[in-house]
Amino acid sequence: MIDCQEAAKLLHEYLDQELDKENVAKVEEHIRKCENCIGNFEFDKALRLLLKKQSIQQNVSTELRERISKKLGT
Amino acid sequence: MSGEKQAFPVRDSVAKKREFETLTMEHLDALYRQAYAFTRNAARAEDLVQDTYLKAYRSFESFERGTKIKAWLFRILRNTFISEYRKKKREPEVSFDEDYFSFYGAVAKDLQACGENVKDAESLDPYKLEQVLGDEVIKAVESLSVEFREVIYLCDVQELSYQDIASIVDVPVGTVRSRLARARATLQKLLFNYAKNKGLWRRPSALLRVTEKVKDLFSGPQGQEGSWRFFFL
Repeated sequence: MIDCQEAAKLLHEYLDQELDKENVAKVEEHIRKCENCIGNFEFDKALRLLLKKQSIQQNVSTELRERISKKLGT
Repeated sequence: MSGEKQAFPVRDSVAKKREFETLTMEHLDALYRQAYAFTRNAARAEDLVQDTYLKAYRSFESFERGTKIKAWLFRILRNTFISEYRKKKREPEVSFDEDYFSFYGAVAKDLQACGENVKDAESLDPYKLEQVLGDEVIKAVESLSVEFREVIYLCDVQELSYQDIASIVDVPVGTVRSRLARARATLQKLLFNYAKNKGLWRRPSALLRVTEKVKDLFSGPQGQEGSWRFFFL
């Protein structure tokens, strides 16, 4: 079983869904059993969701959309 | 603003414009968010987006139909930023130590050193996290260097794969991986410092009182036996 250091290194790629099956299994096994790392996992997950949530509140003005459309092909 | 020699009949450029808009306009908001990641300013972000669309339109012939147009647009956005805006302002580099540690890990160590071992397992809901951290998350991201901000946005907000990010940023996938890891470690460190300065976590005795209170605050499924969460008020 991998240790906390190893799990911490793999955790981000795991949350990014970029790990291969073998390493996914290792990370999940570790998180299931490790008191320290599960909190880390939850925090990172929540942080990403929060960043996404705050960012998707940003949208362009309708004015810009029209302005761009006008400028194209002039 | 015409005066450009038109080699094609008008009908063709109308068709081109229509095709271009059909393919690209749906990505306007996503491009704006990424532009904001670069400029950290709404007005400049809009300018950057506009310039990007104009450039993309001008080089539309070079776009290979069937490939990912979003990645193509993001590359143009990035290059436009680098050539036009970056020149004007030096981006401060955030320093960090290679000693890779996690926010949670560091705090956990300190808590354990104080003899605290809170055994409670509630899920950390991002909405609760927002109540605690509020604006600090966005502020912390905005204080990162542009290289770090860029990849964090591409990964966490745009939800692109490492491969797509690599093609946009024009580096190998391995570099994307390590840059993201460093960016996140830096971000965690910033948030950790914020929490520490606010005295939000380092209160062993308060933590015991808080344990009961927090059980109500955090909703979510019961975790596994023996696992614990770090939470702070």
